Amino acid sequence: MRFGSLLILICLALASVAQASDALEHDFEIANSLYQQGDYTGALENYRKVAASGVDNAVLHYNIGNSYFKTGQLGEAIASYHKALRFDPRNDDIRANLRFAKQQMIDKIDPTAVSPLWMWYKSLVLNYTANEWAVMSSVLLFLLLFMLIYIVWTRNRQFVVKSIAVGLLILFVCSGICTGVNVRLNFYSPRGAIVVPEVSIKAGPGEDFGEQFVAHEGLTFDILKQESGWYLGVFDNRLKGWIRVSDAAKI
Amino acid sequence: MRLLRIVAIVMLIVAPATLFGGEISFSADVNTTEAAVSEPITLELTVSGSEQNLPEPASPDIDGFDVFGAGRSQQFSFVNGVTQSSVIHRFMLVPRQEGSFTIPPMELRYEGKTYSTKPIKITVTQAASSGNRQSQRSTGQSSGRRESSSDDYFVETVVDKDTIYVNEQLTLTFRFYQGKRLFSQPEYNAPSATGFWVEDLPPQKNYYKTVKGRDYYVAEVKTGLFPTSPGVKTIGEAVLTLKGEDITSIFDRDFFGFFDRGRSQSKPMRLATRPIEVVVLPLPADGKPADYSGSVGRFKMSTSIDKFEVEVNQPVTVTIKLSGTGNIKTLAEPAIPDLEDFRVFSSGKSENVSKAGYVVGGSKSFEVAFVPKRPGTFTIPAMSSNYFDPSDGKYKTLAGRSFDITVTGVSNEEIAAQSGRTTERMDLVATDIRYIITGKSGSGDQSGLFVFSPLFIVVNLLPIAALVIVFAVRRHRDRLAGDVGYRRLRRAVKMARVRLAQADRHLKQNEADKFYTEISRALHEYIGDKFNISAHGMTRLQLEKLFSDHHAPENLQARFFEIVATCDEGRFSPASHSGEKMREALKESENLIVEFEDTVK
Repeated sequence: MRFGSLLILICLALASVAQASDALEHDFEIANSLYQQGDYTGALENYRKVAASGVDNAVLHYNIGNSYFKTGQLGEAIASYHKALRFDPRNDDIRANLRFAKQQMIDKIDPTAVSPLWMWYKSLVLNYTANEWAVMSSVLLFLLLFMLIYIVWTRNRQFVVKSIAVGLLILFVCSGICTGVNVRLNFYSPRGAIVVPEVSIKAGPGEDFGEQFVAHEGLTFDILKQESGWYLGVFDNRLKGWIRVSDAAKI
Repeated sequence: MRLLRIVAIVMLIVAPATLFGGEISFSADVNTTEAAVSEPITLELTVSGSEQNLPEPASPDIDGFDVFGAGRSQQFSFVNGVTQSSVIHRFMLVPRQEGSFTIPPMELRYEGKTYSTKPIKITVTQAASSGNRQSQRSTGQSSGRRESSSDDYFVETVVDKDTIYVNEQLTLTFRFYQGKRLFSQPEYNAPSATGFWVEDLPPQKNYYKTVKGRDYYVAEVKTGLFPTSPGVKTIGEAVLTLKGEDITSIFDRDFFGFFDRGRSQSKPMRLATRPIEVVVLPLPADGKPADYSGSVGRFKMSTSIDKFEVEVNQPVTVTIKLSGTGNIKTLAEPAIPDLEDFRVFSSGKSENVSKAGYVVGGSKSFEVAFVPKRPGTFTIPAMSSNYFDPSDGKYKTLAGRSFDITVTGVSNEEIAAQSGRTTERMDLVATDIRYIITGKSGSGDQSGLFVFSPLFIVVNLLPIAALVIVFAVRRHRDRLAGDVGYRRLRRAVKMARVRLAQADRHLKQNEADKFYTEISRALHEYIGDKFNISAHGMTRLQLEKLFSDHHAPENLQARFFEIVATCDEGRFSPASHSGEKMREALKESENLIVEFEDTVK
């Protein structure tokens, strides 16, 4: 979070949209108080108004997720919590509510054929935001170049100095890879969540295709491609099938 | 020294008793210190200590009292790993006459040490009912047998059964018939009863009975006998010895004439009973339970538990009480089950022997402690025992009841895992989602990716650029410091300019020879620096080869040699050169160097 706050500053500086945020902030506050009064539908409406203006942040998605949950829309809630985690992956509240929402699901699937090493790496990468990884990489690059400049200028070729430089180089490369993987997972691997109580997963993009299996609300899947109003999804248990776009929410 | 030796000796004598012998205590107590004649007083002698086998005090012999054994009761307790047992020996003291008596200190020797009780004073008053009894007696006596004969006194022993089972109670009754009043206590020798466990059955019974038309005052003493093995057993003769005075001097005395006692002497009289044969049957093998306990009689069993809810490691005590008639002392402990969830051990027993109605019985309690190892709900199974009932010749089984108990707390394993700490676990029971996040801006946008922002590129390129610059500067300095050719190249133009400036000064002073020397040196040194050679003294051919090696243009070469020739000419015939010509040569030299720099690398 140390560089996270720095990052927010940078982002704020970049975002000239900030001027319009006063009106949005007002809507957000209204939604919060509606939620507090128990008017979850009203709260949801206002939150979505804020979201519709193109604003994307953890708090907003989390609160939207809560409103969805309270109005009984489990799938949408799970999708929102996933969106929120993308911007604040270590937030305890978001994690707790996602876990709680998942407990309400009907389908319990164990991820199969996924190497534990990849699972571990994925959780490490997704434990930080893409921006945190980027800042981390930049800092490491800065330190690495600083070390190189020092070596070039002073012609100090001691083992310790060289080791530090090599270490920083390795760290920078790893961090850079993590940055790339994070961006790829968070922004270039679309996922979806089923938002209807029960859906028949089809063998092809159309009603006429045969049923593969039945999935229930809240189940998430990787979207491989989209074709004429249907998603081709892969579930965590490696089952594959077509889901109508209207039956799922994109995460 | 002498004193020390005495102390040492005393220590040697005392030490074994105090250090190595277990300490016991011995005390005496009576239920009352005032009693009427013939009214029994209970004397209790209590021996207690941590030893298993406590000594038994001798039957006391107390002046003025008839003494009967009245049984004993024993208690064991097991507290903090120490066994405490105490045995209470009860005796009936029946006062013979009124007055003040003292129960003398009773002595008990144990492991070389003598324990004694405190003396107890007893006041005996005139018997309340004695008036009535005496009138009876006088009636009996008035009917008149004044002469002394063998019919005056006789004894008999009677058994209640002549065929019994092993360990079944046989009641032996000894009766002493007195046709005349006795004034001293006769001496009684109990029958020998080899092969029997003997229990005195107090109290002595006194009554009047008419035998063959004569009234007798009967003293009846009962004894309980428990055969220990089967076979034909003989109960020996019981002997009563009467003192002579009681037999001879009857005539001269009235009833209250005992003050004359001892006035005359006579031979004592010995009264004996016939020996009795008894058939002792072995217990039937038919229907004998495998776990037969050896008890004979008629018993009931009751079980109780002290609590139904307990914490781990805290004992629950189940008390099994066997009560009824039979030889209580030989009652065996019921089998204690071995349970996986408990540590089980016997924590104590107590017995209470009663001789009510001259039947030996009572109760015996066994305490069994169950210490639970882990929490949960458990059943302590019913414990059972059995006995042989001689009245119908059958074996009977006794069963207690089982108990369901609840054990709370943390199991030993868990305690061990927590290295002795007892903590209460707080389990999260989530029933709802957590509340929304408020107080934070919800309209800020976080979707901007730093990786793709121009700032990211700038931020990362800056240090790279810095590295490149530093690298270049370092390299430049290195060449200056270490590479003469590089330094000369960098210096060539600069040096040439210095020489040409010097030439200009010579021009202004119109020193033609010096001017041309300077120009020539400037050009030659420039070439030397440029190509890192020594250009002085090079022939025209050598220079031409050098120029063509470095691809210098032809016209530049020609111009170079032309100006060198002008310089040579000027140096040797300075007068023929005007200021105009010198200025031309200087200008040409400068141009030549500039063009050389531009074209030749």
